[in-house]
Amino acid sequence: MPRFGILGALNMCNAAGSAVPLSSDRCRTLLALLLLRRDEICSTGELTAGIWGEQAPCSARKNLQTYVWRLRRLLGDVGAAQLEHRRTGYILSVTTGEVDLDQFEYRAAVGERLLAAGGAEDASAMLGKALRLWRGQPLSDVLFGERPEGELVRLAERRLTVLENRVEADLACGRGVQVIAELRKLAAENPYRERLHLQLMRALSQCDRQVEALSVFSDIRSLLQREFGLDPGPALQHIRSEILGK
Amino acid sequence: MQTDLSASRAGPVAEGQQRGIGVIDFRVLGPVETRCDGQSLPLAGTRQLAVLAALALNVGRVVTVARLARAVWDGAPPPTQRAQIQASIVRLRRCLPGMILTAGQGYRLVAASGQVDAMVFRGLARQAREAARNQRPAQAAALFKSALRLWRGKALDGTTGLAADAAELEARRVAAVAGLFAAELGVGRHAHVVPDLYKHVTTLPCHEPLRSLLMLALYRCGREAEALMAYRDGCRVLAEHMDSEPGSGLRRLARAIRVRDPELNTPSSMTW
Repeated sequence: MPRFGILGALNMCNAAGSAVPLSSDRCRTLLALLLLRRDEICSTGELTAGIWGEQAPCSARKNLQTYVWRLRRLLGDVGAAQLEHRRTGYILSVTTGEVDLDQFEYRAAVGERLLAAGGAEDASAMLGKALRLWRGQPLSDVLFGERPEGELVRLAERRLTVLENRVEADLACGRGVQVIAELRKLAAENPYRERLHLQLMRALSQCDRQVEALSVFSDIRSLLQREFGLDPGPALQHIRSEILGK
Repeated sequence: MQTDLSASRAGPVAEGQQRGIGVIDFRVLGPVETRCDGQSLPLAGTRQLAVLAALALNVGRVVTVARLARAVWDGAPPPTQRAQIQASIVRLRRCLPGMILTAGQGYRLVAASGQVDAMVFRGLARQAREAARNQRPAQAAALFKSALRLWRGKALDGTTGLAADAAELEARRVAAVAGLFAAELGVGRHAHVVPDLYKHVTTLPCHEPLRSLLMLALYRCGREAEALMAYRDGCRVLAEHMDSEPGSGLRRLARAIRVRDPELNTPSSMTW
């Protein structure tokens, strides 16, 4: 099965698994836009905006046709995905599982269901498998006219939530010691995400590092107080009293 | 949600449809398109599409030639406008026999409102708001979803002289999106909608109802600090882009989040 990767630099592999080079920048942008809206018709106007933004040249339409033609040839080499012209625009049809984002969402959904059902060990494995599909910032090497910023923000939020769920599963399996370093980094990068701080406290506490766990609490408490005049939420308060009770 | 569509089509049957040319539907919520039994009809050219879109948006009512000219040329019609509009009508009539009548100072598209996607959208959105008002969020969410599924891209894509109509449709779309999120919050799906809310707030940073829904969803996930961060971003964006401050609804919500007002967990806290 051919593969398309958007969870990192844009890439495209043929059925044998070898990468097909996408040398033209515009072709890459076109493929990225079509992949983000896979199985839907993208109008010529939307594609030109995505490629050139507001500064589309007069020849935009003609150029777009050229890029479509080139991209079609590449897709033909990959033996994949049909890029069809419709009366109102273009549509890229892919098969389920060909795009890494779809695989990510599928594995994440399975993992999250396992976690909810109490299967922490399997959940951790499945969510880990989902997260390993991420190779970097989505479409980091694609030049857009009008950046699909909203979708990129949505993906980042989704990834972080799946990551928190995987950590949750690891903590449920008593693997606190293995996630401390990762959580330290994540909590520092996302200072207002209380759940990460909570998880860090639980991980430290699992390793009998109560003093450090309590200092995580006082750090976030002063940060929230300073920034928003807010007290830590009930979940954080609860874990704190649990640790103090030990 | 084909059922919803066919249900509304089953309404009053238009004269044009009785001529045995199949079920015609007019689509303006995306690139302008006309279909017969689901197949796209060969209507092209900016002028024809603009005329057709203007007629479809006013289905059943007379649209004057002057108004059609505005739809096509956007304020700068050439001296030959009347003849050119007429030529477009002739070509349209070839594809849509019996459906475009000459009337008074202009033309009228004879079709049921259920044949125009924008009208179906409005109907579904109205029913959805009604369900939301009657405290039936699950039904409201389903109706908003059917309504939003009719959208295929930018409203009236491919036309230039209908910017005001496009802006109005877009505003209705965003209102339906916000309505859908509010309904989803009403059925307890706050965690599920956070990523999509972030996406919409990023795309429309000055839209206060969407931002307030994001804040409420985050709050209900126990993410108070991030909810207040979203508020702070909103204040900054509004100051930068509009030189204004958040409205009273948003300010009140931020205050309630700061003190963890228990009201925030009740359905009535969704005031938008």
